[in-house]
Amino acid sequence: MKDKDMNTELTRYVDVALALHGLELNEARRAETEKQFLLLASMSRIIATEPIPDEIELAGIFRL
Amino acid sequence: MSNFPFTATECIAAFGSGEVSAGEIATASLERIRLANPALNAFIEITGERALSEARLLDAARKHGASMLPLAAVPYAVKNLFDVEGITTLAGARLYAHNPPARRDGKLVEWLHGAGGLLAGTLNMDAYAYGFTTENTHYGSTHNPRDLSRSAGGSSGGTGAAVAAGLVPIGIGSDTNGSIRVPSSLCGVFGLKPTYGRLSKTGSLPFVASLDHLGPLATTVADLALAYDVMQGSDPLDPACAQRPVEATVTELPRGIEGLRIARLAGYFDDNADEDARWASHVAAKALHADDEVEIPGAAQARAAAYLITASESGALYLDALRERIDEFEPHSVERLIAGSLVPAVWYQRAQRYRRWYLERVLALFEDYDLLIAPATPVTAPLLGQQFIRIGERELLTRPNMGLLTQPISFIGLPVVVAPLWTGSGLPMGVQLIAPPWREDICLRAANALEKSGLSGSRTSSGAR
Repeated sequence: MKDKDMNTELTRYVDVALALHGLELNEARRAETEKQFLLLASMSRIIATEPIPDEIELAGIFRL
Repeated sequence: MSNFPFTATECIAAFGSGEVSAGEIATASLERIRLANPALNAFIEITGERALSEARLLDAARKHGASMLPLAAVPYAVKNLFDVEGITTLAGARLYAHNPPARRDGKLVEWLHGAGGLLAGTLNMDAYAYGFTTENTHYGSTHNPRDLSRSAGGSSGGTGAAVAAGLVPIGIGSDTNGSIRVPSSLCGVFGLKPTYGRLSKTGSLPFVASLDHLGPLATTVADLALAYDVMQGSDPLDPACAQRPVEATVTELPRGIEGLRIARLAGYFDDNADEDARWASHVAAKALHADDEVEIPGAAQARAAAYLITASESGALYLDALRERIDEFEPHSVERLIAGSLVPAVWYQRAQRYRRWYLERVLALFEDYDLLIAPATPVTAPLLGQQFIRIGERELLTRPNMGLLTQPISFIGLPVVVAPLWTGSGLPMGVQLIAPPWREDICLRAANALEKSGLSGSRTSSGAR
């Protein structure tokens, strides 16, 4: 998917997810939320291609 | 006043010898706070009555020949996310301002009290612990005692400032992504982020449960180790707290770096550090005879994963409140919390799986080395309100990026001590001394060696370029 298309889809996702959460935001707050969410999406892409072995799973509480 | 006991070790010695009473020590600390706090805004609540009352009990006990407690007559203060009996736990957030006062002390406060500490107050922070600068809309910014126009770092900025200004010898903070280490670096004090699960979190407000750590800040390594030793112990009420015996570190300090294999972290930790930060890392490496340089594989990805986990867990934590009382939230972080609450489960799950994978790869480095060195912050203290920091040719937003060098380490729970060095500008820059899990003793021994060398210290600017 092209970056522009991806961002459009992410914007739609933000609107739907906000509605599902029952969060009604004014336009300025919605715009800043979208900006922050796009940043999180970029973070998720950084780790998306890492070849993590399938057997790596976690319990609910991180332990060393 | 200037000759009055300043460090915890000095307080204990002066009280133990009968040179001064606990009441006199408490009064001196409270007077320092009264004079300095208006300019610093480090303290949100000053618990003078409590400190004096605790001091009276110690003085009475000494009269009756009671044995010395390990932290007898040492003033301390805690970040205001710790429960303190009779005080509302704020976590820097107006959201909690109308909550009832805590009915009992949090576990670490309880243990510090039991060890003879004198609680002087609760300290300012970024709201919810979500920030690296302690610029708090509702409770005001904390100012850096080294330069009042600059940030004290965050989120434990009040703790860093209070300790650096000598108001209390020991402060207790929390560190999710760097919130002990960033203030330690920017304020020029020693800070310890223990292994994940080492210290109890009972009676402290969570931020990101799977990343939260608690720990001390102090002006000397001996004080840091002393506070850490007192706070160790298992706690069945905290599901993340390890069931481990107390492993005293104070007695280990004189061993220095003898027998330790030490390396300096390059790659990501140089690429995201400015000239001052790289200088500090090299100076510490030289002093600790770290001839090797190594890279942590995947540090950039680790930082990204930590960012995602932080957003997701904190967003989920505050979602109900966001629905009901959004206008009471801190403007600096409210949209980050909302965005975090929208993170798809697959992103979060992948970040957590990456965490385990990355941990295994970093632990492999410790087969060859006992200690790793890296700068604590990308730059020295930025000005309050400064929007961007500069690293080489790059300009980055200040608030989310002061933790660039701390996040890849706390992400996998490794113990770290930050030791302050002093740059040519007169501002401090901390180095992270990073050890394998449960080996806080190694971090503290190396910090002690740096302190003894005269390169690192909280009260002087020795070692400047």
